[in-house]
Order: sequence, then C-alpha cells, then structure tokens
Amino acid sequence: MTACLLGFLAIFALMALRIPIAISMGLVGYVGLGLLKNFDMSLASVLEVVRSAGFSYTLSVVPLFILMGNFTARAGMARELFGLACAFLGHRRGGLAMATVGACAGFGAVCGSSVATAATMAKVAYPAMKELGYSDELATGSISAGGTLGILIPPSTVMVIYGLMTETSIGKLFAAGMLPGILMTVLMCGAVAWTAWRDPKAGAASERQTWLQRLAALRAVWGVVVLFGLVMGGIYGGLFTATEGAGFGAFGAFAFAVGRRQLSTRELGAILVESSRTTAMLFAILIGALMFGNYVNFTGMPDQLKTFVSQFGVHPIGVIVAICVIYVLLGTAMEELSMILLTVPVFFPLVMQLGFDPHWFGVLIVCVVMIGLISPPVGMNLFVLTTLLPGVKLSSVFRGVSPFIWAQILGLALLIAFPGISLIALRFVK
Amino acid sequence: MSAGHLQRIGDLLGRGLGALTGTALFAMMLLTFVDVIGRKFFVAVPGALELSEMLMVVLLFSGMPLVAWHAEHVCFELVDAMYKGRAALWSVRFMDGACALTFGALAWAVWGFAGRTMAEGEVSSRLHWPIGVFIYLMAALLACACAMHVFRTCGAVPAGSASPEVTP
Repeated sequence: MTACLLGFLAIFALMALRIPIAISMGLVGYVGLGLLKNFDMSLASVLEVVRSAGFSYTLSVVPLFILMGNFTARAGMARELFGLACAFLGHRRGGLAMATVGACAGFGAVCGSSVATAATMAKVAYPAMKELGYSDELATGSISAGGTLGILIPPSTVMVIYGLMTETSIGKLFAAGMLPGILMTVLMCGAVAWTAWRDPKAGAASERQTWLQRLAALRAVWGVVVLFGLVMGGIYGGLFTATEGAGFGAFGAFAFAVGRRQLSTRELGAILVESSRTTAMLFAILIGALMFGNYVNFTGMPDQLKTFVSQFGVHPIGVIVAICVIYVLLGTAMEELSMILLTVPVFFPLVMQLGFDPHWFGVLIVCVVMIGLISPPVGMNLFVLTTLLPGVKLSSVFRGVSPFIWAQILGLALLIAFPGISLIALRFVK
Repeated sequence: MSAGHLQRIGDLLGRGLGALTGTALFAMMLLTFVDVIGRKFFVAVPGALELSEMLMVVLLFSGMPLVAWHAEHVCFELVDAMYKGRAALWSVRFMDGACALTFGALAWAVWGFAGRTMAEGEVSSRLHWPIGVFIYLMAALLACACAMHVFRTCGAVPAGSASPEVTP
C-alpha cells in the first residue's frame, strides 16, 4: 500500500508543479513500475497501452458521442426543448428556471456532455429568464446545474469512459442512468421551487399557455425524439452496439444540423476539429490513467485496501459512502474526469469485492462528477457560464448553484440508499 | 529562430493537423453509419472495423499536437494562484519543457516499436495493411506534439491567444 500511496503523492507533487494530469499519471506509472519491477517491462507496458488505446475500435465510441453532442448543440434543438418546457412549466413561480432544468434533461438525451449542455442552454435560456427579471443567481444556477444532467441521462461521455475502463456494458450503464436522471431533474426543479419560495422576486411566473400552444411546442421537438429513439432504440433493440449507435447518432445530428441550415462548411470544420481536440485531450488522460492503473494493480493496493477495510469491520455501504465523500471533496479541487480515471483503478476492485453492482457504482460515479462540475472553486460548468455570460459575476454563480448542490447530494444519498432506482431498468435490457 | 517564426510554424502545422484529424473523424462517422446501414440492409463495408481502428490512430494522434499547441491539457487549476509574475511565466515554460521531454521520449520509444513491428511483418487481419506504418505515424505525430511544446517553451503561442507573459 505504501508504494501506491507514494505514487499518489508523486502525482499530486507533479500536478502542483503544473504538469498536466495525463503526463503526471503516465510518468508516475512508468517510473513506479520500472522501480518495482524493471524499466524494460515498464516500457513494454507503456507501448502496449499506447498501441491498444490508438488501435481501439471500442474506444471510437468516445469521439463519435462527442461529435454527436457538438452537432446537436449546433442544430438548434435546445431552443425547441426550452420552448416545450416553458409551455408546460413557465406559468409557475421560477417556472423558466424549472423549464431550463427540464430542457437540459431533454437535451441530455441527445448530448452526452455536461459542458455542451450548459453552454447551449446558456445561450437559449439566460436571455429569456433575464427578460422576465430573474435573478442572476437563479438563472445561472439552474443552467449550470441543469447542464450536469447531460452526463447522467444517456448517452453520456462519462459513462462511456467508466464503462471502457471497468469493462462494464455501456448499454446497461445508459439504462441504469435513466431513472436517476429523472430523479435528479425533479430534485433540481425542487431546488428552483425552494429558491423562488424564499425569494419570490428571483423568478417571476410568466403567462400560462393554452393547450393548443403546448401541443404546438410538443410537435416542435420531433427531432430530439427521433434522434434519441434512433440511438437508444437501436442500442436496446439490439440493432447496433454502443459504438455503432454513436456513429449513427453523430450522423443523425449532422443531418439535422445540415437540414436546418445551421451548419456552414467552416462551422463543420470547426466542430470536427474541436471534437477531435476534446477526444485527444481525454485520451491523453485515459492513456496516463491506464499506465498508472497498471502500476496500482502491480502494487496490490486494491486487495490490501479490501483487507484494510475488513479489519475495521466497516459496513459495505459505509465504504460506498466514504468513497462518495472522498469523490465529492476531490471534485471541489480536481477536474472530474481525471479524478475518476485516477481513482477508479483503486476503488472499483474494492467495490466489486464488496459485492456491489458495477452499473449502480457507475451511476454513483456520474453523480459525484455532476456535483464536482458545479462545486466551487473549480466547477467546470461555473466557468463555462461566466465565460459565456461576461456580465455575470462568478460570486453570483457560486451563490446561485448552492441549492442545486444540496439537491444533487440528496439525490446521491437516495441512489445509495435505494439501488433499485438505478438497477430496475436493467431488467429490461438484454 | 524567433518566437514569431515558431508561432507561424506552429499555426501552419496546427492547421494541417486540424484538417487531418477532422477528416479522420468525419470519415469515421460516415464509415460507421454506412457500415451499419449496409450490414442491416445491403452488404457490410469490407474491413470497416479495421478502417475505424486506423482512423482512430490518425484522429487521436493528430489531435495530440493540437492539444499541446493550444495548451489544452488538463492541469490542477487550484495551484495556478500560487504562481504569480515571473514565477507564473517560468512555471508554464517548465511545464511545456517537461511535456516536450515526455512526448519526445515517447515518440522515440514508439518509433523503435514501429521498427520492430515492421520487421515482424505484422499486418491487419482483413485488409492486410502493415500495422508498423501506422505506429510510425503515431511516433511522428507524438514528435509533432513534442515540437509544439518546444515552440511554447520558446515563448511561441497560437495566433490570437494570450501569451503566458500576461499571466497576472
């Protein structure tokens, strides 16, 4: 265990010197394995990781889902989803903020990225909320927190990476995320209601729409329904694998964007390069994490951790709670995906040895990532909003997001207490 | 060579690699779509899986130098506040230097690995394409990532982006 802990310390020391997380993990993995065994074996392990990550058909699911999300964001589907949610919820106090959360959930069904969801909804929902006199706190809080639903409601980039790292079925992980996604949406709408109840001026109600208007809004979201139905229906109907579904979805979103005349050749090029850069950045971390993972496995840390835990007679759920607390705390300081990739090699074997379901643990992991994405001081979604909305102060965003953090923590607690919320959907997956 | 020259080289290289990685991603999307449709209704694309793997190599490794050039590697942002003034500048240069060394060493090791793979005559199972060629490509693109970090260490940054000198 000492060797592994020294490895973690070395990673944090390198990160303190501003060395990228991917390089830190890779270097520590290579040097650590070299010192423990020999450097020839360590180099062979590095080359094998680089080669297998490069020539991996399975991993091609990642860039294709990223591309699908970016095309979807461009296709203008978010506006229609927001219109639909407003038609049904806008007349309530804080209704536009609830509509934002609802639209984020809908958008999350065709986009697997939290940042893309928040960035897209910021452009659509923020002007509408400001027009009705919403406070910056409620407006930005609902957008940044709602954006996190993008990674819980399938498809989800984080679930894909967790699935690939732990060899868990991506299709089943997606299914496991559906009900928790709905639960989190309801809880976040509750957070909006609570904020609007405490300060009625923060979120005024807009005019109630007629059923005819609601029906028209419902018809407008056919694109999202078709895309989600094609991708998820195809995966669960056994028509294609997750990778093929991602390619199909990316092409579908591309066709929608072109069909709606939302995509010029220049924008197409920009989206392709941006998606490739995001993929390369993620894979750099993935390769580094795999190298470090090899080192962690060699130190025998997962087994020793299990022995350590059993010595104290801690209840297995206590271990899960402890892991989640560690993640929530780490998530306030670290980039979330790196945090997951760094720690999953240690925690996942322990969780499996304790007899828990890998899909359920995957959903919990996504939930802690969601909390990390909106937790100050380094919540990624908060910075996305302040970049996109330069007139909004970071302190307003920090204040606005706090009820949503509590809502998500409550959601996490419910998911830990009732694993069935995540697992019930698995019964319907082949 | 001045930082201005390096900036132009970096931007030019970046544009070329951007075109390469973007084309690979677009091709992968089309290939997957056509293959699924073909397999269900007509005929599958021969060697589609292997083609996807080759495209992944091109996509990923030509994206790495772009990530390096645009300084998009994920870092531990909380420590940024610890570095102020010249310390901030030198810490960024140190980081780029360390990344350049790492990518350079990796490119060198992968180049050797490509040579061994070529010598063994390993080819893909369906299309019979030599795997070593693609590993050589990996090595070359990793060397490009190393070069981009070297450019940044020498003070060059992409046109239109903020220089580390202005970090408060």
